[in-house]
Amino acid sequence: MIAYFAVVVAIAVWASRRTRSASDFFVAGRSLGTVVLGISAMAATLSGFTFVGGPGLFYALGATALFIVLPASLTNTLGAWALARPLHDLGRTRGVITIPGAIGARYDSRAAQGWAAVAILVALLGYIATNFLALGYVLSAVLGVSLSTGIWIGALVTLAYTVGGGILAGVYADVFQGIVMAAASVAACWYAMRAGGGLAEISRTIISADGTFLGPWGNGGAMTALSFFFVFGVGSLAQPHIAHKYLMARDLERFRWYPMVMTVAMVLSLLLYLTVGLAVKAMVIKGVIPPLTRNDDAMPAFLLAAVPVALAGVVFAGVAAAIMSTVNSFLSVGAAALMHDLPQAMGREPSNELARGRMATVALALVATMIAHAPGAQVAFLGVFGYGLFASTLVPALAIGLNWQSATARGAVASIVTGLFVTLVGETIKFFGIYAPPAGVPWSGVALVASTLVFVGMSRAGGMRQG
Amino acid sequence: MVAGTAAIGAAYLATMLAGAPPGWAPWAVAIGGSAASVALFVLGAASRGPVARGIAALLAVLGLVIAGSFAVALALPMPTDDGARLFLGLPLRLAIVFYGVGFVPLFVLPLVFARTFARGREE
Repeated sequence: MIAYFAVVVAIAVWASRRTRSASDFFVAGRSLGTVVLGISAMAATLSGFTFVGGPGLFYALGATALFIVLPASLTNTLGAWALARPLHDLGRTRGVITIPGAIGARYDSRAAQGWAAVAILVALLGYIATNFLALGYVLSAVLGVSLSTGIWIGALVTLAYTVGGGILAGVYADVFQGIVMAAASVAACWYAMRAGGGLAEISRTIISADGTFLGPWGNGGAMTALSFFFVFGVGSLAQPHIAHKYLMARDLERFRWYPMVMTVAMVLSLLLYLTVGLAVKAMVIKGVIPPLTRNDDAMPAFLLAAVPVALAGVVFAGVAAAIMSTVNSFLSVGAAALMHDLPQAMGREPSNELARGRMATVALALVATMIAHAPGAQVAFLGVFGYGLFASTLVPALAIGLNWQSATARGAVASIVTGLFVTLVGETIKFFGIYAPPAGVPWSGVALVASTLVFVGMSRAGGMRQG
Repeated sequence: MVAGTAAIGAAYLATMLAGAPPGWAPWAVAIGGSAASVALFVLGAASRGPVARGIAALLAVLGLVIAGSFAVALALPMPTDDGARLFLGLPLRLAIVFYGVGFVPLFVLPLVFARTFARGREE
């Protein structure tokens, strides 16, 4: 783990010497090649949830958890297909360096840019806080320090390389972290299959005790599983920390292999997500491991029961890598929204962007660290907003709008506001036990449907009025 | 895109009004979600100009594979025998979804993207 942090710090020092402008800080000077971008995108996509929450979810719900990652078979290519060229072109022709900036440029609308920035800031603060908390648990377990100390150590290391080197440090750290994640995932998968006696034996063991666990929809049911496929599939196009990568590409000529690079990297890194929860379930049924009191204990229980100590260290480093790579991307995106997009949306041209970008990164990290120290309930409440809120606010305006000539600024703003309102209200009333849609229908899915239909409706209405 | 999204919305609305999903609701979400995903591919391809016949055929097959996998899994009855039939280590219905939706497009789509990429740049 110490060796891992040493490499990350070295990357930060190297990158900080090459970061001299806002363009360097926010889009790495548009200098990155395909392999670097592909691995970086994978590392930013897979957060601590993949390595800790994911196995726990698989242990609890079975095949339902599969539908969160199943869309990856499509989305690795879909993102490049739908977003790469239009975003790259906006970057080159209009000097766009952020996703809200791309939305603003597409519709010639400061309002659209401003609302996109607001949506991103609301979603990512909770996301970062939840990841800092997860990192705190990991470091607390590995280093033997208190949870609070673990949170601060993880936050400060992530902050140091993000502030110093901006997105450039983040991307190259992502490449290193992606390699660590892939190695840890492959090793964990091998040990999981070995501990369970192979996939067929694991399946037979689980089926004998729980018939629906490996039914096609798992214990969450068909509506939940299929809704996950919709939200995490279509929603992948609206994750700003991933879409942002397309603004950094040096040369679109070589971009043809980007989906393949990302696919290979992601397959290797998802092996852990797909196998550890299953193996732990089988091991509990067979009595090898006592039943878990918390689902998130699936990964630690597996490491204790089935993995050599030396390899457990690599897996812990993989968890830290997954968390830090995602948080770094979020901090860069959030700083840009705060110091670049919001001023532009209010009609002010940003100045001293490099210095202000660094200050904003520090501010966001400190706020998120404070939130991470809040009682667990509040952190979870903010965390649920993340992926779904990005999806419901940005899919129509960004993914559809960049490819649909008839999209209008009014439709874009209306869809972002709709997504924000429905997600915030829905998740709040669900969290406080007031109302939750039956059969596991997710509020993020409801919000995504609403914002998409509003986007199309308002755009068409505006077009008819002009016609 | 609109049709797929509207189908999902109708399923959600019916579920929330009735307190439980009607029988057709999972079908609507499965086919609507498949349609929405493929529609985004079509949008991306069409935004660069007329969609080549080969690409159109590929996207149609993609939609059929995804929607078809979900449909078969929905239509097949729950197995009654303990131990169930396994296909490549997984129960049959899950295997259809996992290998059909998860594996078939996984490397095919990046290869198609790479092959058609140059064509798009020339245009």
